[in-house]
Amino acid sequence: MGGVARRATMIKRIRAEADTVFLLLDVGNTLFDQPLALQSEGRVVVEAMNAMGYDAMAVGMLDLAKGVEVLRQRAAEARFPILSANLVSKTDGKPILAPYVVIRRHGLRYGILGVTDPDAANAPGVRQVADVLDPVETVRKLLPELRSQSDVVIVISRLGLGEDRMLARAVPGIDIIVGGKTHDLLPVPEVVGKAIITQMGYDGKWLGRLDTYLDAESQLSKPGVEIIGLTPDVPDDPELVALVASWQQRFPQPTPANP
Amino acid sequence: MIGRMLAPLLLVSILSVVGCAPNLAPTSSLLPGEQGTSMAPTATLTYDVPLPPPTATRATVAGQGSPQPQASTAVAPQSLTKLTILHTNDSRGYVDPCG
Repeated sequence: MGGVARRATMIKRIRAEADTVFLLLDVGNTLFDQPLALQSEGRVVVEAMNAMGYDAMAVGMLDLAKGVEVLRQRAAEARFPILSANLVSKTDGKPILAPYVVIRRHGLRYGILGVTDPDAANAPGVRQVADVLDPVETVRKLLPELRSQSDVVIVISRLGLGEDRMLARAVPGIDIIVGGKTHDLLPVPEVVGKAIITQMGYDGKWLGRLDTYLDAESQLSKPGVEIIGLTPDVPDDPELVALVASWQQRFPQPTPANP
Repeated sequence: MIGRMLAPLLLVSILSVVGCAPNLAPTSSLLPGEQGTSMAPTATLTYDVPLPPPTATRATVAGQGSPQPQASTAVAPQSLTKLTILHTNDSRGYVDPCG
């Protein structure tokens, strides 16, 4: 299951449907953990995400596994913003990365805010240089300024499904929460208050698809979820195959025959 | 006929027991505080749910020509704009298939 080459194939297919406003988001814990990702310090993942055309990504604990400075470097190389509203510098209290981005597409403005789980402070070396602020209070504080610049507000949240439900109740004005952390594979979008909540598994095995409709006053309706399993019958995208192979040549992986 | 209808569910059941290979990374696969609950259907499934009716009006957006949606999940009137969000999470550095 999974793999960026299959994921890229499905993204290209869906992007080719010209009838829709399209956003491609990642909710973090993405850059590190597997050997090639660690050896390349996350570069293989960022290059793959650049090639797939991601629009934004949130920061989770694993994304800080090599420390804040490496994350900053990867964020500088990414052709999409890596967002965290509540990961702030210990010295000046300012966000280490962009807190949110507003993407204008087909005449509408999509405000996307990233929020990091407080556990991320436990990643190596983070407490020495950064604080992770209370996520709900941070979203509550930033929402008015983001709302004023956006027709649709989307939070990419590393808080987990239960906390996402609480966030939706606590901070009215969020339209969509795309979640992570708890590895839930939600077959149906949840609606809490007026917020749509979705989350899509783990390990890149699935690609989540949320379709919804906006009326002339940016009210959302008819949310629908599709769980896209990246099974072996999905063909590999040649560009991503070549990209991964080039990194595997630089960092050959041990095999049973060649440990 | 019934067998044909049940085939996708059988595929889901079989594939759902397939997990990723053990993590070979030099660090632990999950850092403290990370959680790992999950369910694992693997076929493409589609659902939709209604939203509550709107109770407030937000700022009107610029006039937007609405493309004819070819909904995978629902059919919308022409006056609506379709938004599709594709998303991933917790892929943990996997660039190859993981199981």
